[in-house]
Amino acid sequence: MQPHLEVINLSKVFHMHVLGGKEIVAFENISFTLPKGRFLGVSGKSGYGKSSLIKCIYRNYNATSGEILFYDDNGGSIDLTQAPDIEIIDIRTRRMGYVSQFFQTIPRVTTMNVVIEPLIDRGWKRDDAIDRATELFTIFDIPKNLWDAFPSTFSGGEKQRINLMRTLIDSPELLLLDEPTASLDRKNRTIILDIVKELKKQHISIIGIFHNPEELEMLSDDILVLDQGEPEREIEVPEYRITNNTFAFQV
Amino acid sequence: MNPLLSVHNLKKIYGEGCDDCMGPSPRPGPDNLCPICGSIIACTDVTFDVYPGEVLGIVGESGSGKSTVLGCINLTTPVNGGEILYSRLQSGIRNILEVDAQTRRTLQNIHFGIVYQNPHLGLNFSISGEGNVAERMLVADSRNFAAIQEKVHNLFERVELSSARFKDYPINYSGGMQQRVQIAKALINAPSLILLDEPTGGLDVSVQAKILDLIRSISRELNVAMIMVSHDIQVIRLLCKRIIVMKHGRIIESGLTDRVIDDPQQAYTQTLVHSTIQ
Repeated sequence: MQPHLEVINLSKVFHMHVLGGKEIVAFENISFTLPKGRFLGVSGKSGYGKSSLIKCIYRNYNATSGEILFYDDNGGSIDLTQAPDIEIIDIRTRRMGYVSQFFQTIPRVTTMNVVIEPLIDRGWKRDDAIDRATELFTIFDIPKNLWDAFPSTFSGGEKQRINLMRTLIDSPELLLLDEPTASLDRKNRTIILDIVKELKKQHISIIGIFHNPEELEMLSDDILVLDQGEPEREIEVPEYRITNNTFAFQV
Repeated sequence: MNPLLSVHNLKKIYGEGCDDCMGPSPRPGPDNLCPICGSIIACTDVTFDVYPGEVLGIVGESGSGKSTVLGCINLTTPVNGGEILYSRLQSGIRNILEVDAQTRRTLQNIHFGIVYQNPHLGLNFSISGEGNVAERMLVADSRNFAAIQEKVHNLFERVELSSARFKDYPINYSGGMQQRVQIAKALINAPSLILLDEPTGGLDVSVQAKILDLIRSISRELNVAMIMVSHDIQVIRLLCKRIIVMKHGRIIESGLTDRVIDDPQQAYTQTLVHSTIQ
């Protein structure tokens, strides 16, 4: 299968000048390949570098060594650890999305504007972007009275749904999920898991961290286990089939 | 994407200077003084690009050279070395440090706009707010009084200056209003690049928030590039996708704003981030 992302001997070590030069190893020598359209689950105990790995791929962290090759449809690739910042901004705008458990709100910007901003960045007309967002608000179950309010005042579940909407609205080809269901109640968790299942059906490539092992097994095609900063083993789990899909969700 | 502006090895020395500090890579000292001759190294080896429509942040402590870099780009501070390539002149990509006086005025009045922390640097306090902005249109060769007035008033509405205050003198404006007039003045001739030198320094937090929102919405609507100088990394985080960190007149780190804040590499950047972010 065509690779979408290839991680080669990736290591991340934090050199903390503010702690007298202390070095903290997040992970070392991780290698794996994510084929196009597959879901790679990442598991491992807290502190074993799962989030750091995803942040290195998004270039929120600088990898210390190794390569992250991100392939396009023509088989060409770009090393995300070395690409110029301006290219990473373009990749984040057009090709790669990242959702963490923490919603990074933009102060004093309404829900509607938060959600359509990625489309405006890609040159969409405002009216078209609003139409697209309105479709998503229905799917994500965001009531109309919240559209023109500030998300900083919302509940955790509402914030997380808006976080995910903002990332999904411009149809990334690679999606990075860092515990998007953490600290959510059952209803919100179900909404988000159903959406991720639907994205899987559409063959979006996904790397996902889920704390709950059942969620992880349900969603993953492959699981990467991080153990003491090293991948212990790679195991195959059966592909999950969606039997009860009620969504008409087009990304 | 091709850069709008490319700054290469910019150097500004205050003082006599010597072969070392005037040379290509001056010896670093414990501060921004040349360890050999004692001249002030305001900036040296400063190299970066600005892309069309982006907001680039420059952070650093007082005296790190942030404002010097803006002054050099705005051609108000004479430099001691380096080049600044700009791509929007009719004659093609030019080193703007070597243009004639007329082109220099065109750059300052039409291609660039600047907003200072101190409104006395950016505004003429002996004419009205309206006059300040209209004057800039006059130097850009607009002559139709009604057209000038209409354009100024429209822009004042955009920057949310109350129409009752258009004709007041800058001394009678609040700090926030002075900054709004400066922003209007910077924008009036549809520049490619706006230089913002601590535009919200000294304002109270609610006014600061409104001015930052205005700058953010203008940069998104008009797709004008900006260089924003601030010592407040939270302000930079709100507006800029890329930042440069300066210390002792040199760039010590640069990168995506979230990367620099979440994974700072240099000792000073780590201290800066850990000092300002809860």
